Amino acid sequence: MNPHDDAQLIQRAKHDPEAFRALYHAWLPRVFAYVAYRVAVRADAEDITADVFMQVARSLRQFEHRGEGAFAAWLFRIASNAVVSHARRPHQRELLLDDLPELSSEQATPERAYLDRERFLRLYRAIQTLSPRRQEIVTLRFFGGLRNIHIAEVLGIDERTVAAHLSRALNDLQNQLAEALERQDNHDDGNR
Amino acid sequence: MMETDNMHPDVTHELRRTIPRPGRAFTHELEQAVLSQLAQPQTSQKSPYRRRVPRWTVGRLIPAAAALAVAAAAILLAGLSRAPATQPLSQIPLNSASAGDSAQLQVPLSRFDVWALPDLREVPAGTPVDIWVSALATGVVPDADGAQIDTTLVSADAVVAGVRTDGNTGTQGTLAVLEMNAGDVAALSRWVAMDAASARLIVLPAVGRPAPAYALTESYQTWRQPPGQGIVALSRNQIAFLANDLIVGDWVSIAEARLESNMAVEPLTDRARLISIGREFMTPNAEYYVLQVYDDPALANDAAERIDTMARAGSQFALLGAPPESVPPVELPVVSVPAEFVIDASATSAAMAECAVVDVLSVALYVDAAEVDAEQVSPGVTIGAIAWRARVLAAPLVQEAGWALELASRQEADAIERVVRMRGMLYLNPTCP
Repeated sequence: MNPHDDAQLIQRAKHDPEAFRALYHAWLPRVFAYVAYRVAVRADAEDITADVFMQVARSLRQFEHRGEGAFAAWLFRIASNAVVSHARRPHQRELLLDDLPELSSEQATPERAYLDRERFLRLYRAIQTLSPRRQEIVTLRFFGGLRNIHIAEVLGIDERTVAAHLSRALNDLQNQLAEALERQDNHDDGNR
Repeated sequence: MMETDNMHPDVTHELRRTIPRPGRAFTHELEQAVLSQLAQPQTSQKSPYRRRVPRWTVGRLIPAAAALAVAAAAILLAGLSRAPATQPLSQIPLNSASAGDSAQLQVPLSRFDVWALPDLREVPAGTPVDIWVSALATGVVPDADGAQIDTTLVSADAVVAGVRTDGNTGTQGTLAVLEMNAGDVAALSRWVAMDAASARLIVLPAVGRPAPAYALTESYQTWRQPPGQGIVALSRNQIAFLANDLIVGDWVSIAEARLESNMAVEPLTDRARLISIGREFMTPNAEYYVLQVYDDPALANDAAERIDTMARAGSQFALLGAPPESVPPVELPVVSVPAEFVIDASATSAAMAECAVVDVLSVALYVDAAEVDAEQVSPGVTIGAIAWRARVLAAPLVQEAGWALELASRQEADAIERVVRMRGMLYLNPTCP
């Protein structure tokens, strides 16, 4: 169980700013990572993440903890709705490396960080080719850190359906990445 | 239920390698906002964070409006370099200031939204600002997210005149003194008279708006000028016309824009180079432009000084692309480096009084991938030279100003820009004998 999905902490966070602060710091990285992989643009990811936590701060007192994973499912349902709401608005189409969010790996050398951002962009574009449901599932799984059972709760579907979608989505992504690398190799060979 | 990660080691590895993370400033800012929200009565739909929206709106609208004005001006000024004397421009209203009809209003600092930027206590007198009011609306239609915040621009004509403390009442008694036209004073007074919980004020830097005529003129002496170089910095507020898409390294013409009589311009030099675009001191989102005047070397300092003197006296300027014949045949690239990316910037800046040539080293911390999840990590340092014998055109005296470096090749300039873009650090090593 995630220690921050603890009923007592959530209960305290409803009235105690320090408990809320702990909850915020525990979940912000995951929510941000999930949102950032859905929208790619750092500024948009920040706006949406801010909306999510403002909503959490407004509504936490009404939240009822109903067992392990309930908070995560509730939190990411808010995040998922916020992303969907954002997608309905017109937004920037062309993505530049400078617009992308920071990545956890960027403690490394600038060159490595640059390559990682390119890698992020490649993955983001690959994920964009998946169906909306599979995009949700992959990002909730890898960036939200949710287990299949909790993803199922967020999306209101069966856990086995989540597993099936996830498996197919990863296969598709795997193939796309292999094709992308092949194209890159061909391009490099052509330049030699 | 079987988890599927092990079936796809490559793609899952790739996904885990590129996890986005929130920036530290954002994390802190949002933390304050949510805690503030938590403290509010739960019936309220007010969202302190969302009050920042106008900041972005303003940021998007003002450049667009400014770009429109500049585009019009650029067409009219296209023949500038061919015009030896003053030249009539147009009847475009360049300055919205209503000189002579202003009034002051004192507003408790506590009435400003905590997210208001900048902190008025640190804003230089004379800085133009926009004043917005964020009010808990009654009767407005909620937006798509259900928020019922009505944000209104009350004055696009205000100037910070200062801050004064009212007796011994401490911070609660600190008053911001704002100057604006009389109509806006009356409107703002009505908002100030309302209950603080119902209406909060937001002050935003007025990016791209010329300072009203009643504004004090600030000088932006925030950089150290190596001897013998004709450098001048102009605040964005002192530039009435700015050519589109100017970037660091461009050659420009500087002209005086005479707004008070016939809206005419007076060419000052056709041979200056834009060597840095910096953030204006203590005024986030505002910019200043550092220019190096390259006229006859013997006269460059005099020309720069003259422009600086005019700027202090309140002149407005036009910054336009230089005519091709003024651009020297060999053009060395210039990059601008914010001081925050330079290690020990102040000491290095001081050293520039003696030596204006540096080698540029890239310094990066790294953590062994195997240690990333460990409780204690031992970061390593990689240092690599990326440019040699760069000439320092301008070195900052304060953190907010930027360095301007002239490089021997485009490759060196690209390498430096890449490090800055990726938020790496640079060490500038003086190389004078």
